[in-house]
Amino acid sequence: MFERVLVANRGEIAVRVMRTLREMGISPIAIYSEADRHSLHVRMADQAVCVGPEASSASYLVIDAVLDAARRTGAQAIHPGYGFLSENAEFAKRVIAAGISWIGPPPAAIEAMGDKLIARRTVVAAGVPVVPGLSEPITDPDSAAQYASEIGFPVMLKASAGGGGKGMRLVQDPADFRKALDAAKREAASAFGNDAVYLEKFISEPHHVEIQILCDTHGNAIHVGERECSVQRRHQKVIEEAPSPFITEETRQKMGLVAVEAAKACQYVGAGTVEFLVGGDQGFYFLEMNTRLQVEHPVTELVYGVDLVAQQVRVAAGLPLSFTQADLVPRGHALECRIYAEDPDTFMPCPGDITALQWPSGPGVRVDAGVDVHSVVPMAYDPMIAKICTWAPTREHAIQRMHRVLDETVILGLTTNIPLHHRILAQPDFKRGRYDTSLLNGELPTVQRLGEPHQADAIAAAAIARYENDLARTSGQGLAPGGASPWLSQGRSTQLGG
Amino acid sequence: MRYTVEIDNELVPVVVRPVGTGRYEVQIGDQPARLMDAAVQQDYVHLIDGLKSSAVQLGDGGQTVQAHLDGAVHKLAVLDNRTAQRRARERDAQLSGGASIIRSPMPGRIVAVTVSKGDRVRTGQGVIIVEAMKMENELRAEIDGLVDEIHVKPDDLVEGNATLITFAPLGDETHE
Repeated sequence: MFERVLVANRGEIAVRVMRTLREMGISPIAIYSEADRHSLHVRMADQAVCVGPEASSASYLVIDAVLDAARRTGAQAIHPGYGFLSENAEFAKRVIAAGISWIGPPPAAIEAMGDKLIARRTVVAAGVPVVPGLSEPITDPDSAAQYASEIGFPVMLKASAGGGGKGMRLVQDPADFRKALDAAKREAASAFGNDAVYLEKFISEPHHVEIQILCDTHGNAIHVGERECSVQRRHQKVIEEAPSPFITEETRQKMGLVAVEAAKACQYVGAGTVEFLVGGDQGFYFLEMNTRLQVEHPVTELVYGVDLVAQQVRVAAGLPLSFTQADLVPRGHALECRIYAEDPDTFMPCPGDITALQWPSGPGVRVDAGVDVHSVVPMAYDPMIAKICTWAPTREHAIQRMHRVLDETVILGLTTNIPLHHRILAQPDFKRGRYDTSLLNGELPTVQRLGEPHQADAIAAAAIARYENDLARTSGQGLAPGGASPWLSQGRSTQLGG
Repeated sequence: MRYTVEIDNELVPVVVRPVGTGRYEVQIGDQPARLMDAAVQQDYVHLIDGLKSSAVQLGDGGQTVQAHLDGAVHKLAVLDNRTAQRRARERDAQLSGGASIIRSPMPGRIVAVTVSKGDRVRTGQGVIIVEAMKMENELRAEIDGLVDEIHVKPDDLVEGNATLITFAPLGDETHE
């Protein structure tokens, strides 16, 4: 097994991977941009190397800088996390060529699956069902618009190199086609440095369900069940759950088998995710395969009681998977809420400094955070700051538990989407488990939290804190930022405790 | 001690009077004064008001204090008397204003401005696209009006709350 592993990422996923490395007795190595010098993932690591300035294109995405960091720290393997270089076949090749183990699939599989057009051809050859669409990037907007009319609007425009909803546009009306194509190309160019965009038919009332797969170098290929990811806004997932409340047991079995076939078709190794669109009739179509760990992997880990990162590391070290398909039995229900630094009503990103922070705890809670108190959430990176998961024996209980857990979560200094999560969890269709990807286009109920009517308590608390603060200042005592002096607090707590 | 608390765009007078160790009399607006026990630890306040127990986490939100209480976040500012008077004047001026301003809701980069000076816009019409955290956001006009001034151009980097476009309300002569 490896002794030192470099995590070529930042934020919550770097922290999450390092936790497993620690449990396996492996020393974690961080890389960081100048903006992340004191970030949580850097503090968790045994060694850390600066790879460049704040812009990810000048730091986390620079292959030479990451490889140099690996050489300087004696890393025996590199875990890429998700995003950044995780699906860059060139990076994987360079890692392997440098004599370092790559904790990911073979570069050929990344190439085959990472480019959506090649992926489509590969899985069609393996008999996997796909949605009708153009098999080449759009070069002539007029003939593409013509094709769109033939297969029928609405159509979907997608960045060829894309993922995570960037460079994606739904076009309902032929008149909007050109404007949407320009916007998709612009976003694709800025997010991926490649403005190739392709087109496919849009399946109405679709569900987004994905299958986790695991393959080792000993010929074992298994699936670890599904995740329901239909709570999306602008194709960004907001809440995920496992198991899916929508698909039948029969569909689940079929999708699992098809996903394993798709993985075998590209000689896959490691952890990967096969994404499907599932129509209201339980018919399913291959969307794409993500050749990396998925953001929402914790719900699978909670329901199946496995550590997917540990399996990735084992496979990269040449060991077989620790379990077989028959060992994998789902238990209970898990939900994940993605906590974004964004306004819950306008969805505008809200970068800033976290001035107070309290994560939830207690039964059935898992928090994967990339920040802690006094962290700065910079504008340059993704606004997701944490993932909060609950597990419970039933779906209904997991939802109730999530309300409790979100109430316990205190993140001050910036605005988060926590209020939006409460509203989604309380939406009647969501509560019944009967929803598709259009859920967030409709009205959400207004949800009042327990503390909302108690404005007077907030006013009293703030005024008393201010009074104590002023008192400490005028009495010449050392002043703690924004509050009473530590000396005064200490004295008071001693008195109160006595 | 007398303060003014600004909350939900209202200015509320608050009096805090210590009446023993960890005990305060607090009067908010014209409500009767309440006697409460409070433990202040840095930015964390635990209040016991009769039988009611409330834990409030305070955080610096720039111009305001954010107060988290049982899953709800209240945004407020505790002002001294001089600042309170200035805020009262500013608020009066704001309420009587007529023009509309589009401000950047976050720090970001201008992708495109889709209107020109003098254009007539409708409420809800997209006028400018700002990119932050790798997502494009289209900002929309909040009034029916005329584009009075465009303060930015594509590729400009802007701070949060920066003035991007100002609109003048439509005069009567434009209603044909």
